Amino acid sequence: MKKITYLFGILLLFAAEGYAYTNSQYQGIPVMWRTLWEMQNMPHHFKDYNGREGNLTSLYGGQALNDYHRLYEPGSVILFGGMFETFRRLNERTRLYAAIDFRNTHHQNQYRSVEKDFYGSYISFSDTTKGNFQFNGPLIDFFYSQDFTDRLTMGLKINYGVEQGIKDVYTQARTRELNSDITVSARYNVFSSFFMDAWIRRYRVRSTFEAVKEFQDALVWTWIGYSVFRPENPGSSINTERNKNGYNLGSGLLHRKAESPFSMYVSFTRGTEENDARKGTRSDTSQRGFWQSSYYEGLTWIKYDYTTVAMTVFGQYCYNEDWGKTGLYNAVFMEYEESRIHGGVGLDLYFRESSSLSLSLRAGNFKYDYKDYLSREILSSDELSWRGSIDLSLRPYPVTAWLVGASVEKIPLHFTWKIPSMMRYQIYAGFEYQPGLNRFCPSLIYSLDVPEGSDKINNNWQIKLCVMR
Amino acid sequence: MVNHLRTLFIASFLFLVLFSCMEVDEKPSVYEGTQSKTFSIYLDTSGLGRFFLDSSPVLAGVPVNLKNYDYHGFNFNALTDDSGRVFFDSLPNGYYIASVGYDFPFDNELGTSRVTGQKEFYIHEDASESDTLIARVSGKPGLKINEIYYMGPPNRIFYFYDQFIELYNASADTVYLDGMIVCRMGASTIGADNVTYIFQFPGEPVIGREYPVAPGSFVVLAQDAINHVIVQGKDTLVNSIDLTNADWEFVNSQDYADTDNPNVPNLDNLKEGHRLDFMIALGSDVVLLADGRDVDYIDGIDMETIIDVVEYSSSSSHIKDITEELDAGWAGVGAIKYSGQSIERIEPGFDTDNSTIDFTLLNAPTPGYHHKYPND
Repeated sequence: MKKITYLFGILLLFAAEGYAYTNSQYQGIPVMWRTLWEMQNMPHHFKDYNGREGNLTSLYGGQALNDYHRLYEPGSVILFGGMFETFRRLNERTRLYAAIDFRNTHHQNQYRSVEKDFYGSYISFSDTTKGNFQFNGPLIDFFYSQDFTDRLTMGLKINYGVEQGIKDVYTQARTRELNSDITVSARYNVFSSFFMDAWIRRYRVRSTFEAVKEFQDALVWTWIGYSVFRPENPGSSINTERNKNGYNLGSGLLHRKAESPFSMYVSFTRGTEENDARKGTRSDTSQRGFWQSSYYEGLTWIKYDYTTVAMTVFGQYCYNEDWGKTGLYNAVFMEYEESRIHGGVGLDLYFRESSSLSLSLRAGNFKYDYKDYLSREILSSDELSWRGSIDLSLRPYPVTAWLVGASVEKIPLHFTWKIPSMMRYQIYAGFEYQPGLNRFCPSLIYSLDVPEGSDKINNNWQIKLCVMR
Repeated sequence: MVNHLRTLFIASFLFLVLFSCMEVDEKPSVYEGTQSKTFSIYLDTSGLGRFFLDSSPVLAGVPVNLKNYDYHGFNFNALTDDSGRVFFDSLPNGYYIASVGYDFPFDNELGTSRVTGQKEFYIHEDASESDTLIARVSGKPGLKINEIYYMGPPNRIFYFYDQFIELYNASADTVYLDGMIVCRMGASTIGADNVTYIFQFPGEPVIGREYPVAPGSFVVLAQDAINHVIVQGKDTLVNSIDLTNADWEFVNSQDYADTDNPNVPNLDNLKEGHRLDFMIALGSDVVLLADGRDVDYIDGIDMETIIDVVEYSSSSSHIKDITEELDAGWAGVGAIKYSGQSIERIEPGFDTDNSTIDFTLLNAPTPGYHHKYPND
């Protein structure tokens, strides 16, 4: 029960963080399940995880019906898969976690795009077909955390995934994506109540796309920005590829006293990511473009955690600065700046040992400024964002637990959506039952997206069954 | 054990620190959409001396079009000023073709005559901002290969037997097809030395007068002069064409199965052992028209007998099969197999000996007429 409560609690406070090849927000089904490896992004934080040792096997599925979607996105998405996780404390100082997730994603009625996430890049590829795309592949996660001395803890995280996609039209389009992601982090206890964190993350993603057309030549377009495209030379088979390369550096300071209910944290992260897009392959390459993104984030929270009440106040500021250049002429074709600032408060009330009521509210601002020098477009927006949620967890019997919750969120959107924002209404319910050694946890999430200025709505549901031993 | 693990962690941390110092690109100082180009438009008066005794006329008020071939939909238009110059600004980098096609009012016996000209160029940081474009009063006269339809109609049975070649008489005089040859060429190293197919019109070359082509008229040479719309059933070839009324038909008398429309005269195969119809490739190929004085294909076709040559390829990075002396470029870039597309000169008979400039890609063939003037 404690685990499932914690999982959802984390979900409600922070936005989902996807891995390199998972869907970007609202591209398909946002995977809302929070598992250990997702919530503990910093390996050294893993030390504080107080969940039960054991194995967790999950089956999950879901569907998103996107009546309102961007042009090159699917009309609906079906997701299903299975995951196996294991967590062990090897000794007092060492912890280990490993997981494998095999996920299938079906994009129905995907118009032209040969990509899973057409809008996730400033340089994208499309062909001339509309069809169904099937993506699948395994994702492997490995966490390791070790206390070297009483003061120093270090952690290592490795994430590795491959995925392939096939479009089921007589004109075939294939994708292959490979990502590797390593994070090393450390926490040092400077003196009794102060801890210093540092981490470094390095990741690479290689994506290849192939359009094959039977009887006729495949016609591939390379999009430079979102308005201008270059028709590639037609051929029976056209290969394109994109390479992403990035790192993050971060540091943080934690104040936490064992006997005090107060704790405080402040951190700063910066990162750079570069992407290049090519027609052809590395052995026979023709540069199409390059874009680079610089990322800065500041985060702080203060928490008061007493026996019957816990209160968290947090603030976060993120800033992105991107630019792209054309591959052939080495000239800047776009610049993009984005800032997100929001703050919030979370309140947890503990009625009994394992029953609680959580309320959270956050509000902020989302601002961007996009300049496309090829199409001569300048687009900017300044939107309010907010989210409120309520969660109730009950444990009426020692072997049974319930969790229900609801949230409302205003989500500002990028210019590619053609609308400024959408509202998301979400409810979820989880149930846990432990007849013997095994614990069974079925849960359900349903959400409704209402785009501003449109009479269309998007439905999204997900169901998951976990067995923990 | 702990020491080993500590060493492992520190080593991996240092490795990532070093690894993370990845080389990031410098942001370029040049932005797209900031380039400019000035063209001075001159009229080529060679051969027209009697009309322009004193000086070459200034082409003022002439519309000039710039088309960017790197990106779709980038066309820029402007008029020449009183000095015959035209200025474009806010241009993105890229490969361009500047073109002029205008009925210019001359103040001499030429009256209002069409002035045409094209020039290809690149725009980038190091390219010159000024350039010249030579315009001509008309294209070079003579018999031309005006259109080649080789892509086949949209279909799923690999059907491309509705291919045709269209000729156009761009001269002021009647020309005669007697004894002329039409060849499909392979990659040639010296002149036209690699003949793949050779088909010939009946009659005596050069001196024959049985098969005239009037000035400004078209001649369609069909691979098979039949109605291709119904040849394989109505469901499969609905977008093909009816070539029953073609002017000529390629018929290989050594190919006993070749279709022969008895109502259409034939060009026959001259190459011994060749048992195929006049089929040209859907990707890239070369078509040659010569006056027929040299039909000894073993050593190639003599240069002085060649009337017109057109090279085509759907690839912009195509490596040329023939020398620039015969055709400085190639047509058909971007053409798609089995799409019904065709290549045709931008104006009837327009010829600068550079097929990249002279031809345009059509979505549908136009046998016996020009796409700009369908009612002529």
